Amino acid sequence: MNNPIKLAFDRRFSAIEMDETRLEKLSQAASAKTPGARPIKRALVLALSLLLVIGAAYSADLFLGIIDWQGNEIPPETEVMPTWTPNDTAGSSAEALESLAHEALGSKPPEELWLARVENSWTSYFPKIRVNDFEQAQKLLREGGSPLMLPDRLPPDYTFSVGELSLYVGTEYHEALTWLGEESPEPGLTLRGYRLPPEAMGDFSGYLLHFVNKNGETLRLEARLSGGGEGFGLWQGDSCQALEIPGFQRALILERSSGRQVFAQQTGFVPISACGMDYFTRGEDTPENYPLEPEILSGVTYTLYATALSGEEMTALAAQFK
Amino acid sequence: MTDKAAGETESAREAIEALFRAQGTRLLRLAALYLEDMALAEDAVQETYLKVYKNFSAFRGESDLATWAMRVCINTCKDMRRSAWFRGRKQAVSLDSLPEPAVPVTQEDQEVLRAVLALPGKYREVLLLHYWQGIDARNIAYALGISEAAVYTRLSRARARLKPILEGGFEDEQPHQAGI
Repeated sequence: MNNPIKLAFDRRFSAIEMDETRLEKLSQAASAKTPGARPIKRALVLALSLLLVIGAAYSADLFLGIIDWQGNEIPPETEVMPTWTPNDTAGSSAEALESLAHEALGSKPPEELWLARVENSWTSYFPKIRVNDFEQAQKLLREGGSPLMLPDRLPPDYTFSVGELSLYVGTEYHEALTWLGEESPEPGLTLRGYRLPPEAMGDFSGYLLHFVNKNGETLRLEARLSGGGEGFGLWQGDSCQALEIPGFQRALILERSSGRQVFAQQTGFVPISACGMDYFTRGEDTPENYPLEPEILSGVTYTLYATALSGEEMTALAAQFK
Repeated sequence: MTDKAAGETESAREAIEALFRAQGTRLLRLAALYLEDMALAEDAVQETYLKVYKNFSAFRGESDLATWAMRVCINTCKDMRRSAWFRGRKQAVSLDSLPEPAVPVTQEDQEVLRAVLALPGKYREVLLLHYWQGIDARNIAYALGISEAAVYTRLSRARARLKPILEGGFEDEQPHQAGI
């Protein structure tokens, strides 16, 4: 009897092969590993978690440090981050509960905000709105009066693939949230839901949009409202350079083996006061009378990632954001 | 480093390189499935390689080396999915960002892909490890850190959900009897 699953997945993933180039890179990565680097790396990993670190690279032992917008290294703070090892089963139950929370909350409607408490640690699942094309994203941001910008036009040959906009909850809507209830599908997991009022549905905290060209090359545009404190992970083989891009206060390009990333920061709009986690968990992690501290969002950090565009093309793309 | 230790390091490296030469495509494809992004998948496999290399001497033979590497790779991908960067991403699985297939994908393939990707994660994961990667229940249990009974249950439920969509049945309808 045939196996349609194997046939379908083998064919769909047929372009993904561990070729000689990739094998060579793996071997080089192992060669570059030095035992003495470990304590520094662990300290930096913690610092990575303390800052809003932008950029996805995960080769832990090749991590060189965190840099600021000028490309200068930010000194690490302290070290407590545990490191996973293959024989370590700690965390597996939390992982199972988190998976369960993801599954349970993955299909919730966009007007609902959910929080999941896994073994005494809260995670928020802020609402997201899936968009079907680039123009829809532009329209939603425009209609919501969002400070988030998008480029006027995309590089030639790139078409929209998938994307979504994420929402925040302004402190002015905190009292207007509707309590949806709390459930505990498994011991150790608590889910808590709120419904946003309709007027809060245009408050976007960020977006993530994917584009692809006919060769399968990727372009990813990401924006995130933040309160500052950005740092960028620097990994072996990366090179970075500060940029000046019209319309942005600061910018940086990182050249990575997997592609290029341009980061650009926009400030200057009226700071936004958003509900932080303790607005939803007061009485759980903090006393009932603990003063609520809003999260002040005073800047937007944009990330442009591309596998095939040149640095000049990416800078030009960023320059026409509006 | 003594000559003996240097020799052990060299033989470990050779063993790991052989492992990744044989199993690298499988790991890379799995990582691409979990992370839906080739650059991230390459990072995950590289981190897997380093973890396997670093912990090679502690490998206790609870499974074969390939299954151990797969477990490391799956956990690495899941760690990455839990990162702050990933938390903002959608939960539905999409292969749109992955390279276009090197061989034609049929209409039937598309239907299978859609149906499997629409399964809840825990069922999809077990189903693909078995039917796509050909891994038996004992090793799936080890790779995912769950019981064999849970593997059977999830496989059974996944098959039940797919049955109306996939005609012709599966290669082994009775996992216990077939000894997967």
